Amino acid sequence: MIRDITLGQYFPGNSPIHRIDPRMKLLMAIIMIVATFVASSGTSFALLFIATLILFLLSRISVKTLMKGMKPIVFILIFTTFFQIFFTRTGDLLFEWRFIKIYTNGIIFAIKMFIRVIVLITSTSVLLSYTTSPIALTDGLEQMLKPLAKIGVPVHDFALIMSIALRFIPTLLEETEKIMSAQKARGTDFSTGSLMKRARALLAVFVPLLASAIRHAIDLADAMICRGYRGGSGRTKLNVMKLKFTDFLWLFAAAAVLAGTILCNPFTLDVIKGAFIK
Amino acid sequence: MPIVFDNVSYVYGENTPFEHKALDGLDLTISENEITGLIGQTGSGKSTIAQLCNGLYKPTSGTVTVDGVDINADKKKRRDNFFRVGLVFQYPEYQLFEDTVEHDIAYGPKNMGLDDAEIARRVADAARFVGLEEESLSKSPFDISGGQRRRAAIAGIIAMEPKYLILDEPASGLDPQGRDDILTKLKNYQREKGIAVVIISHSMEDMAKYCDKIIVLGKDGVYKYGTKAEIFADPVALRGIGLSVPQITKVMYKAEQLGVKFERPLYTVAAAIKDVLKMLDGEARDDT
Ligand SMILES: Nc1ncnc2c1ncn2[C@@H]1O[C@H](COP(=O)(O)OP(=O)(O)OP(=O)(O)O)[C@@H](O)[C@H]1O
Ligand SMILES: [Mg+2]
Repeated sequence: MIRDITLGQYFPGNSPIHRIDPRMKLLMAIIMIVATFVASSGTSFALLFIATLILFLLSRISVKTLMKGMKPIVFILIFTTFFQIFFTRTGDLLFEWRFIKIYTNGIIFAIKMFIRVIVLITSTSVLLSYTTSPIALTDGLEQMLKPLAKIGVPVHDFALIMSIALRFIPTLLEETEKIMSAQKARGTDFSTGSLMKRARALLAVFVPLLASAIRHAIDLADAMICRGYRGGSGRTKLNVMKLKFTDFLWLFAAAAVLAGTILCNPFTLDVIKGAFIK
Repeated sequence: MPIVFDNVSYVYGENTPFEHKALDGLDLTISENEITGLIGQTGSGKSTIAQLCNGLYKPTSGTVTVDGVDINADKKKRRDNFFRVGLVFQYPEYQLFEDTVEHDIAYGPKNMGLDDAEIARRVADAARFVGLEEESLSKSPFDISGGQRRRAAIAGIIAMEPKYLILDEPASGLDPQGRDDILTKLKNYQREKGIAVVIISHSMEDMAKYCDKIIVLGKDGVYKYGTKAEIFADPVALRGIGLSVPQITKVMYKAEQLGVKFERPLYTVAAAIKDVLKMLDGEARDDT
């Protein structure tokens, strides 16, 4: 079913990760992304991997859920790993058969690439999509970008657009499912037949879906106007976000991981060594 | 042969935090050649049952048999089930998508692989049954009124000429006259074709007026299955599961408590009017 797509889906819960302030989680996610890109030595990858594993275990998200979320990227993952293995031509030659040549560096690059993607996806999805409700996330984003409002960036409007979009994703998914069921009940076949036939089958879903999206948009706009919505200035929040001490600890931990990753890189090690030897 | 549910359970979102058991060990039978009303509180699983009947949903456990065959046994026959058990969803007018109403009604029959002449006959037939006029057939489904759209959507299923026709709240959101009109048309259709029709509704009035048999869903499974008289005999118990008897039946019970005796139990306003008039007639004669 369509709703089985879990990538980008919030799982309500009360784990330590769930309780981190969304702003901190955004920062932590950014830090983790930077860390995955600067990592290059084996030690730094091991460090990242362990940090991600801890995040994941603390979040109490099931392995099954995570695996399901990974499904869409499995193909890309296999593809890139394959490329790394077969097309890297540096290091020692390990294996040769006709035109296939596998070098040590190919294997090493592939493993690194693999860990990089896994860490990237797991850490960001555990921090942001699985444990943070979309509304909390946009709220956090709005708070963080607030300073930009001073130079005329319509931060509130963007945040509103985003939260409305996020709010309607489940609604539209549900509607898609309903319309698909209804058309199936009229004999629409979505999974077999020629490309042309299937495109036509999809039309039976898209037209009603579009009509319903437009209907929702008009209804929502009307409802907002009726309740006196007039833009962002001067609006207060029902739930004011407050940073706790533990939130800073988490940020510190993420920063420590980044620092550790940088320190473990051969390049930094060389620089440090160089500094001491001089 | 009827539609039979044998110990059917259905769980939404199995193995997710949103897991929800909608049906638990349900047994029920939908007989041929009559109108069965399916009633129950919000969330009692009526729509889920509807989608189990034609195989859109597969039971988590238990079997659904139509005409003596387990409909989930053969995956390749899935589409045949859709054509045999026609399902009109709640608010079906939101699925219309073709450029004209006529084409939309023809969509189902076309998917069945029928020839053009047969499709044309069925479209005309279905449009006549639901009371769509000739001129709205050539219009875009987005250009006709809500009530007409509902009819067009129902016609789209009727045109497939299913042996079983299940309608999920076919009259919801329509004005009283529209309700009566569409339900009357469905009843006439059933009487003419002799097929099995299931009407899901929240309205006891509608149930009493249009259904031959009624299935009442309770908290766990079928609470009661029977004729109007059997179902409405115990208004107190019905209230206990959040449902009630038709208004006119309530009035009748009250009147009986006050000493007015009716010849038969009353479930519809039309029957009540007839009986009361007869009674008044009788009294008038007594006076003279
Ligand atoms: N797609 C879904 N995912 C999860 N739970 C669902 C889904 N659809 C229905 N449910 C749940 O299953 C139960 C039965 O739902 P169903 O729609 O069959 O009830 P219903 O009797 O048709 O209600 P209503 O009278 O409101 O239409 C409800 O508790 C509902 O919350
Ligand atoms: Mg329902």
